[in-house]
Amino acid sequence: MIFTTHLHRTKTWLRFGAAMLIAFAGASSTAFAARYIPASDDTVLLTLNAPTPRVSSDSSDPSTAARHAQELIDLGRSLHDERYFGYASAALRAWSGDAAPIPIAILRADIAQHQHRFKDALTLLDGVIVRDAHHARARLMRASLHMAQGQPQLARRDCQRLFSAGESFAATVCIAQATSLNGQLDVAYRLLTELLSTTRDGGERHAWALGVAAEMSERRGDLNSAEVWLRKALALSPNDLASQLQLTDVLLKRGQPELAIAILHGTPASEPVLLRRALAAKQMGDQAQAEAALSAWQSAVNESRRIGSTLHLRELAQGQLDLLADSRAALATALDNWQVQREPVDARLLAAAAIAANDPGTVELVRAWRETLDIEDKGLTL
Amino acid sequence: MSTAARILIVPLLWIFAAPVAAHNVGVSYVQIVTADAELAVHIDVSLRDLEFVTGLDRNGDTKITWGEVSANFPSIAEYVVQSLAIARGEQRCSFGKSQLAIDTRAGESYAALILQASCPTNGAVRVKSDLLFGFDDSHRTLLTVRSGQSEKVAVLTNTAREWNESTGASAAFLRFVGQGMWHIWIGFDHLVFLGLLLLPLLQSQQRWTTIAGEVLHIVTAFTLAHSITLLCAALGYVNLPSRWVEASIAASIVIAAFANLLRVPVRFGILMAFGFGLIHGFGFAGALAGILEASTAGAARLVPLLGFNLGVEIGQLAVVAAVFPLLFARRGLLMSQRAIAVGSLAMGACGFHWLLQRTVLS
Repeated sequence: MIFTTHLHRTKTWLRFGAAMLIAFAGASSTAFAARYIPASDDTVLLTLNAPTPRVSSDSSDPSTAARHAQELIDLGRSLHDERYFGYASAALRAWSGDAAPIPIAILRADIAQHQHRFKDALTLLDGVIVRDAHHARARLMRASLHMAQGQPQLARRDCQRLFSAGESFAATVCIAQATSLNGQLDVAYRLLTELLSTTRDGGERHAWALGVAAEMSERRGDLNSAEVWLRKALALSPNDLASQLQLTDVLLKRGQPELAIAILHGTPASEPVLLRRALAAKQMGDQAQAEAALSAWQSAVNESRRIGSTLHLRELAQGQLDLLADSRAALATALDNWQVQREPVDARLLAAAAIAANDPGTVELVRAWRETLDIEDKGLTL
Repeated sequence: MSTAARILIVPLLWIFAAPVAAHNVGVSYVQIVTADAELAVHIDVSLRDLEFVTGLDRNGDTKITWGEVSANFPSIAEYVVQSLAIARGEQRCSFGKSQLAIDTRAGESYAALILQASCPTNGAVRVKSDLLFGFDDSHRTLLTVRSGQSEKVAVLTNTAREWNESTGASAAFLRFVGQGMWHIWIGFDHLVFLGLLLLPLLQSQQRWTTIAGEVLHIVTAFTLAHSITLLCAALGYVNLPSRWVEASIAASIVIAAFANLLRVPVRFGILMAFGFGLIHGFGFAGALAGILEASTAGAARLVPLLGFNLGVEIGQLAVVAAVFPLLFARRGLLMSQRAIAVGSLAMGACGFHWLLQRTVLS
């Protein structure tokens, strides 16, 4: 008994000595200050939320690779971990040319869209549709991309083709969304709510349609309905980050920061999440909390800049405007963002930044955009 | 739990669990410290990435323990050593034995490898890394090379896997030149001020070479002045509140506009260019501080600073070179005193608006 305790102590001291040695070796750099040797072999260093997907057979076989990549993408979505999209992309590297099999081109477009490389995604989808004009998923993805880029007229054509592909639910939601962005918000909203009242689907597509309805409600100035739609969407797919962020924004607009923070509880601290936490903390009015949340967001942005990864321009512009009160930087970022995405929310942001930075030219640009598309949005103040 | 109770508890939870930002891509870290022919190499690779590459979770219980990591040490070390090539001069360095520890970065556990590398010669360091790039298209490797007091930082990506001590530095320099040019382009108030100083030259009846000489004088005086204060502020010798600086820049525009309306001589314009240039320099320093990391201090700021300043000059001269000949060609229409007055009034009004915005309205 005494002997084992002694042995245990010796081991502890040895470990301590080793740790000190390594700490000394690393002391030259403050960046390595957190280095240590865990106290026990049983110390858990990482808990995986799911077993790591492995390629069971030949990874040069396109259908095996596609299945593997799909698994990785699904995991990335459910864990909100961007890394899995990088893994999936690498798993499909052998088919990076134009002649990639259709299922692989679709996956590559999905990855590109997720990483905000909209041009790449569009090129891939164009290639698929040239080869298979009835490919429903490609049509729907392309329609969404066109809408995100403020081109509802182009989107409509793809939406209509979904009917002939037998996807009437998706086609109706798609057309409603495109129409709502093109001068007929009320008609589109009525169409969509009627569809939703008769739908018993309950799947991912249903949740997507609820998100579209919420976006329309927001533009109609009806934040209560927007919240109801989004809570339904989250009941169907509780882990969907886009719905979580959308609901957080609605709650922040209504001045309910406590509820907004509750939505994001337990969500990995990515830039979009940190921005909303900082906005909520600011609204709550506690100086110390607001500063801590602000610096957490800022350090995430700085880190993204440092490692040269894609910045979330929409979030960055909003933070520069609402948190840093740097209207000129916000305007520059919002303009960069405008080159990539042109949803109503992007227009609102650009207009707000342009007004704050006193740039009538840009305000005029947003006004012209609104008039060309005939977009209705109660939240867009010009 | 009732919703009300949840509302009360949740905010407390997230505040105490200090949020650590997750990376939006996979990141590994390679730090090289040079000491003569020996190199100390520190490599941090995320356990999640290693699990994906080498399969750390031996018992398949989705928990990765220190025991599993150390049992996998040989395969981890082999993978890392094979993925990383370091050379000095043209000669490749060879790795010695490695040690293993754990590091925490962005809230995540990393396997930390410490290696010694010995190199045949003492030349410039070159690094090529394939670490993780075979498995993750978005992966980033943050490379730090320290020798003595100097530290160089680079980011390696799937499409740019190599770094060279000499070219790395010039790429960083060029990046700051670009930032400087960008700033002058979006920092409209600097251009308005310069425009006001140059505007009176349009009524000059001199030959174009003489006028070009006067443009050069004014631009050089402005450049000289803002370079001095940019240098002082960026190196931390002088520190002024940015609100005060921004308001003074706006005021300088108003004053320059008045000077034009009062038809002060060109020589006075050169004086103003220098005097107010000093204030504009503090404005540039503020923009530069936004780009530089807080950790970059002292002499390490010198290269970015020079690059940024050079970029500002290039951007400024490019605008002057593009706009002035145009105005000059049209001076038949513009040279009347009235046109100068209207231009000055318009720009002065801009300045006055900015002044209000930055003082009483903010």
